[in-house]
Amino acid sequence: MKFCAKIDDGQYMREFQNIVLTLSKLTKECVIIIKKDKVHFIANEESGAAAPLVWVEIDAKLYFTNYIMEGHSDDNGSTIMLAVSPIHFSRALSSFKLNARNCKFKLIHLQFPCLRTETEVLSQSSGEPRQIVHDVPVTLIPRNEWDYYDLPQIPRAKLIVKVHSNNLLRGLIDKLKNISPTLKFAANSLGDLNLVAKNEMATITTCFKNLEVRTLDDESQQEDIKVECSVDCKKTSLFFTALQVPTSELSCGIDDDRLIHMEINVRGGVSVHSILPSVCV
Amino acid sequence: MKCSLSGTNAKTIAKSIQSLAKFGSELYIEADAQGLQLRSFNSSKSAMGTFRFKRTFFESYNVLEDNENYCKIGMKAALAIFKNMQQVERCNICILPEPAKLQIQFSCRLETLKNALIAIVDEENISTPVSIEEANNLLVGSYKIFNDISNNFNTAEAEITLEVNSNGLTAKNYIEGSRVNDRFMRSQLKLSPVEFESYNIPQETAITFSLKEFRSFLSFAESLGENISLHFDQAGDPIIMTIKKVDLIECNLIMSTLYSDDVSIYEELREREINERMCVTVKTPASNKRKHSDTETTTKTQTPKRALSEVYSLTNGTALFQFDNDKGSSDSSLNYVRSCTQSDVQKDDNNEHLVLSAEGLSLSEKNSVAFENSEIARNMTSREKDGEDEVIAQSPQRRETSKLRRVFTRCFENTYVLKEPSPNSQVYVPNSDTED
Repeated sequence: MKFCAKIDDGQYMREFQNIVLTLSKLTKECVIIIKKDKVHFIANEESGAAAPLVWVEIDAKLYFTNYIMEGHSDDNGSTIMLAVSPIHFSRALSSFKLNARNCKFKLIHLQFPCLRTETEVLSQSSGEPRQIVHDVPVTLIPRNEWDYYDLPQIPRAKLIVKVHSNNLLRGLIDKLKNISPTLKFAANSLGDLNLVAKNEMATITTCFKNLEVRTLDDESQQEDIKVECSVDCKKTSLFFTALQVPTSELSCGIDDDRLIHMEINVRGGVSVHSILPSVCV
Repeated sequence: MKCSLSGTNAKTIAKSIQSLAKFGSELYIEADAQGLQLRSFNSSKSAMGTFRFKRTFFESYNVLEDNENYCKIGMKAALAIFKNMQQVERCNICILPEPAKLQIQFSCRLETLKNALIAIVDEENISTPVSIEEANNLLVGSYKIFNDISNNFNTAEAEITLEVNSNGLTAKNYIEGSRVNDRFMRSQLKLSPVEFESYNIPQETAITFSLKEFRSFLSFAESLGENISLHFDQAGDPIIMTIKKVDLIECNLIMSTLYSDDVSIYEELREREINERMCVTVKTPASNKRKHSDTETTTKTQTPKRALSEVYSLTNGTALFQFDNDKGSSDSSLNYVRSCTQSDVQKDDNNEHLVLSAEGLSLSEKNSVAFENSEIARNMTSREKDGEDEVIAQSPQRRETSKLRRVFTRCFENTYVLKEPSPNSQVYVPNSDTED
């Protein structure tokens, strides 16, 4: 089993670090699936009881130069599955902030399997290159458990609304979680998104207007599609507060009364997804 | 002793006390003709910090030539007094011999006068035979680079290993070849010699020392904005960290380093090695107004997360510290086992008087024979296994120690050792029924 990858660009390194930081705020253990052309991170629903299901898809050729991997082969090609603590991993990547030039990832086995992160930084004071090495302990996931970590399919949502930025939503949902345990997302094809929180004393509705809308159903070109879904407010709040990636491309796909699918396109080829299941009101 | 200083210098003294307070529980103050000295050491006596302020640091400085120029006070009291220094414009410190108190007066803004009296716990002093010139390796760098090194590691990290050779320096949080538990994240940082102001390493070595004390002195260097020098030799020999500001302030931190052979010994054996080298005397005061306070070697408060032993020992058998009454008589033949005082701090809100009462415990005299303080200290160590994982280390490679000591060691331990099962706890064979 072999894995060796290198990132040369400072911006990509910072984006990668932001993704891992996001995961570290969501869960204590996440799974890395390394395939021939893609790298996925899955933050499991079970591991963090309150956290939503989040997965990240990264196009390997985009971020990594010099990507070598050799894992167990199965129908989909060669795969390596590792379980790692994102908190440790994000600590290993913390040196990316300090003017790092490049970094190398390697899967090694010292006393136990580790993911080694070698970062070369330029020190501010003297301009000399320094090398920082961190070994993050990982656990290899055995073959018989691989089915458990199948990637979720992107659900077909009738309506997908694009939200401008996370800042408003984050603060709003954070405060709404004190009002009511469930939050209702309602959207229509005119570009309106309503967030409704209801308790015995009051109903609070926040209306976002003129948002970009996309429909998946090509047949129905009706004027008015209305979808709504109620989700657990705490889970939603956790997801939004954990996001460290730039969220200019955040879209919510609402599957009527089933689930809400959030997708953040960090760049073409790199995306963060999350599924919030609906709850009974 | 009487001295007074300006507000800014008083703030520097406050920062130095805060630095010492991070690892020490008692503050030793000594004043002589050259200046004032503040000293403290940590609970396991493996690190000692000293701050020396030359007399030109003070606005006025009066020292009498007799013995009443050093004292020991509790660190909590000192820290509480030197806490809010924003308003201080002038500070006066003097040692009052009758009653034995340290008086600190702050003249603050808006005509406020703060007066504090700290009871002197004891009159004793420490001196150390470790000197800087003996060390072969020297590393001088700005506080920034040491800050970078320190920030690379987790704040919870207990120790740091510096591997130095002619090519560069590698700072690690682990030791090669030691077994660690599965969830341990290793980090290392490689620096080239160019980054240091002065990099003089004639002898390649790898030393391991505690990060907590290092960080506390690092923060003081950062507040002064000065360079830090590290003098060290090889694993097992003490490392000395010095900070100098012009001629006014000189700070030393002497820490013992991990002895290279004892990498995988159990934790209990630590204390024994330290206490063997302690040579302690207590001054009998001219006036018998105070009771003696004896301190017993306390148990290690710092428990590392892995089963690395922290046997701190010096190679040539000299003590890291020596307590003495006056500087001349350092080889007293008495070895005392000293017990730590539990000081009760009573705060009187009205006048800001802090009164410390030391519980005097009886002196216990032990003969200094072959066993020294080792076995007694072993008895005193509390067997705390506070739920920490007992990592079974690989078989240590011990050097040949005398068989005699190994044969008789068990006699001097407590009869009841927690790790051995109590004869009453486990039933190996149940009572057989007489029915059959």
